[in-house]
Amino acid sequence: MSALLEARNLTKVFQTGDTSFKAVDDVSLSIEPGKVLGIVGESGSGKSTVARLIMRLLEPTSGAIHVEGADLLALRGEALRKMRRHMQIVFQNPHSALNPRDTIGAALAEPYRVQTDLGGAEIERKIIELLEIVSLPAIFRYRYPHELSGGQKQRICIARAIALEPRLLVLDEPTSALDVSVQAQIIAFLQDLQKRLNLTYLFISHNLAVIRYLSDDVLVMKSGQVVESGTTDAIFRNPTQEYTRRLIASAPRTHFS
Amino acid sequence: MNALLKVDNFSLDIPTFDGVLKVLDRIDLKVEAGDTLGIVGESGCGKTVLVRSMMGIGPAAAKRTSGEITFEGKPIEELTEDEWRAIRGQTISMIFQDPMTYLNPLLTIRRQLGDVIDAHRRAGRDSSALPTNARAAELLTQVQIPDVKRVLASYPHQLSGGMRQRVLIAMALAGPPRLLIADEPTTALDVTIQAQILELLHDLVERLNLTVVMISHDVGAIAAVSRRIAVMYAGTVVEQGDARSVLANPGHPYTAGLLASLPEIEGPRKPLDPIPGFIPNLIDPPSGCRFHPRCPRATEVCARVVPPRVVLGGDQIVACHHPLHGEAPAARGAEETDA
Amino acid sequence: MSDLAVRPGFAERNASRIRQWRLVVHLLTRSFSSMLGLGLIVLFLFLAAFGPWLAPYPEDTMGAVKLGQRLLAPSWAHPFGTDEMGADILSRVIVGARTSLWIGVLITGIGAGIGIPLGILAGYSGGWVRAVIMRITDIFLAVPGLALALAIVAAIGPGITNCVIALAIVWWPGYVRLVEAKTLAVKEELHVEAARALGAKTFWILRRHILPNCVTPIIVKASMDMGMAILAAASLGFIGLGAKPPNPEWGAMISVARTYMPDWWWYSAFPGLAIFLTVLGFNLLGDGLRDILDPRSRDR
Repeated sequence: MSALLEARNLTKVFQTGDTSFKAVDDVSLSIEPGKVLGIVGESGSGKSTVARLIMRLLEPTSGAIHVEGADLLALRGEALRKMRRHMQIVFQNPHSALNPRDTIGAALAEPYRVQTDLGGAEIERKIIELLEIVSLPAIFRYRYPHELSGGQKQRICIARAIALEPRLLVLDEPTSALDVSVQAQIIAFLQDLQKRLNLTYLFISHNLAVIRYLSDDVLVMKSGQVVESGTTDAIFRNPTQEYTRRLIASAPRTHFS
Repeated sequence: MNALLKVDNFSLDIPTFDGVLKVLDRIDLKVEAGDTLGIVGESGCGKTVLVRSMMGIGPAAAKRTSGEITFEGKPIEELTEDEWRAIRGQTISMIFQDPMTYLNPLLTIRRQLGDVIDAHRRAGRDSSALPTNARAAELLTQVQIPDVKRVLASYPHQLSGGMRQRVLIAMALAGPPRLLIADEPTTALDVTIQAQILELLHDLVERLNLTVVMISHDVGAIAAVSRRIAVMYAGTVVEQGDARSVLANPGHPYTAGLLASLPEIEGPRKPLDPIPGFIPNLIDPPSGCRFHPRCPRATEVCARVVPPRVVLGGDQIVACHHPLHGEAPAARGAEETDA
Repeated sequence: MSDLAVRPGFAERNASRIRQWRLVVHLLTRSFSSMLGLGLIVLFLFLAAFGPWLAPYPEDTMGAVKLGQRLLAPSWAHPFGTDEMGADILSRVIVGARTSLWIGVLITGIGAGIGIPLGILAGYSGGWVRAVIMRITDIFLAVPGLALALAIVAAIGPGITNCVIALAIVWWPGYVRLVEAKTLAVKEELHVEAARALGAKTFWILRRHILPNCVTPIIVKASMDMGMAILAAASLGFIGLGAKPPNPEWGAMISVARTYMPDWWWYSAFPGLAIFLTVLGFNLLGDGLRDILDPRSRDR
């Protein structure tokens, strides 16, 4: 079973003037098709940078990324654009991730207009289908983002991300900006979606409980480096690293008896 | 029965372009000296508006439509701006969510802390005999800052988020205040730092016998600091009582639903049971019980009549027609509603 | 099951836009100064549109020779008096509105037309492209506007067309600055990153994500600029480097009226008043628009 996504020795150094900052330091990961890999870390751990490197929204300083066997970093121009159909991303802040000047319909049409030759009527059909998949009323396609709640906006972002039927979905803290009850809805929905569409997830969060809930495997990051990695059960039941133990112990407990 | 702060049947409306927001509906809360009350709720539940109204810094356009808030027996409506100025920061002090924006980036910590201490002295409140600098150092030690000299000489941007929040807590304790209000004090912090700050707050409460009102959307943070808890939903208090009791045996379906929405960090991985539906629009909130459209136990009366306050054992009070009485929430069928 | 069967009506489809417009109107009508500004501009546009039919003495608009009626004081027959050639000043002021309008529109339009694309290009590209554009902009902005315009007009010759060209050259750098700053901010928004993640080409991103989000500050600046451009053109006309008599341009009229001060005060007063009210109107409206379009005023 070859990995859907494989990244080896990823490093990203940001250079500003004469100061350099190593955001990601020699990170390697791999995800099997249909699985969920969770990356957990606090702020400054580099987890969001890893997400952007995988999506090639940032160019790595060094390292290799292979998606379904193909060398992602070697692609250019049209070939890279075609590859983007297979991998999409959902961001943390749904308020900023939707163009305030576009209607929801226009936002959902964008993937089709950018990547396909589909006509207006066909796109409209697809938009209505997408809205149904994320359980939002079809009339929402005429609304503007500022009229929707955070959870609703995030559903739209998820709908936009799955429009082109990608195989890999990168989720960068998709529920961190949302209320608890909405977070639960979105997480349950993402779990269901993954099974239905046989997606592979790279899920990034600072929330350990959420990572534990969704992931098959976990990567713990701190200051740009991988501190520990393993299956979810292994990491949470038997953390070997001090930092991992501290992270788990710090999470506030909510369930009492 | 000397309640320090009493919120009595308090309702608040805010007129907006799209209509009147019924932001708070008949809130009943009591905070006694030495109490720690945690108010937990999601967006739009009204916790922030409530707490700011308690400090007299509620939204300017807001209109009180019923009830009142009293501080030490005096209705706060009647306080003049001068009286408020004497109270705020000294008798009641507040710490906020984002420590960076509440510290002056151009002044050292010594200056800022010193200014606060001096202001208290001028108002005749701080009885400590120490000179300002020594008092500042004392306050910083109290919030467990290790390298006091370095921090005093630093500017806010040179300190980490957790350190800044400690400084703000120190400033808030300078009075010392009779009531400390903490508005999402750990939300902007990393998990490990959050744990430290929560432990600090818990520790300060015990040692200094502080009265604290803390608000948060994070149930875990509330549970770590507060002895009593009030759960708010869409402008109403749905449940209040001893924190451990309420969280172990919720009486209100919303509290139970909220707890069922939280994934656990240890123990068996149970499937999440999210509450279906959306938080209601407060311009036209649901009739009767504001939670009824999303409640698995809702019946016809819930849509018609505002729920009564039911006392369930101890001081747990639930605003519900069909409280759970501490039993486990009824298992819901497999059908998906509009989620 | 399917919402496709019935396409929602116009009102439903545009409910959001209708509400936004209602909000704008509501905020606008609440501000006295904005309404005053709007009123002045509507009057100005009305005169510009229908001037030739409104002028009581249309034959006077391009100058008359009625030496028997020279320099008459304001009266019922000539509410603004007459000039040194006997032409009715009211008629000339009314028709001058049209001249001022197209001057303002052309200067602002050309300035924005050059400045906006350069600004977006500078903001989005970064690197040396941005450096080059911004340094050139800085140089232009360092020279006082009117002095630069004077220099250009001196080089290419006087006349109203050249005056417009000169002022457009003075005006474009302001738009570059404004749009570059906004582009830098918008570029960091997640919806731009999302578009890149979808594989959108640069031009698509500029056209659909960057430009529409720059529109708000551009509208505010353009409305203020209209007034300023008219004033600048009038100033050039006043020193004799813009429109030339007998063109009924307000600045040119004051230029001639100068020599008839203070005895025949009405000759400069009324064109001056026209300039003042027009510029005031645009300034008030621009200020009002800025307050309305500020996202913070949208929510409550």
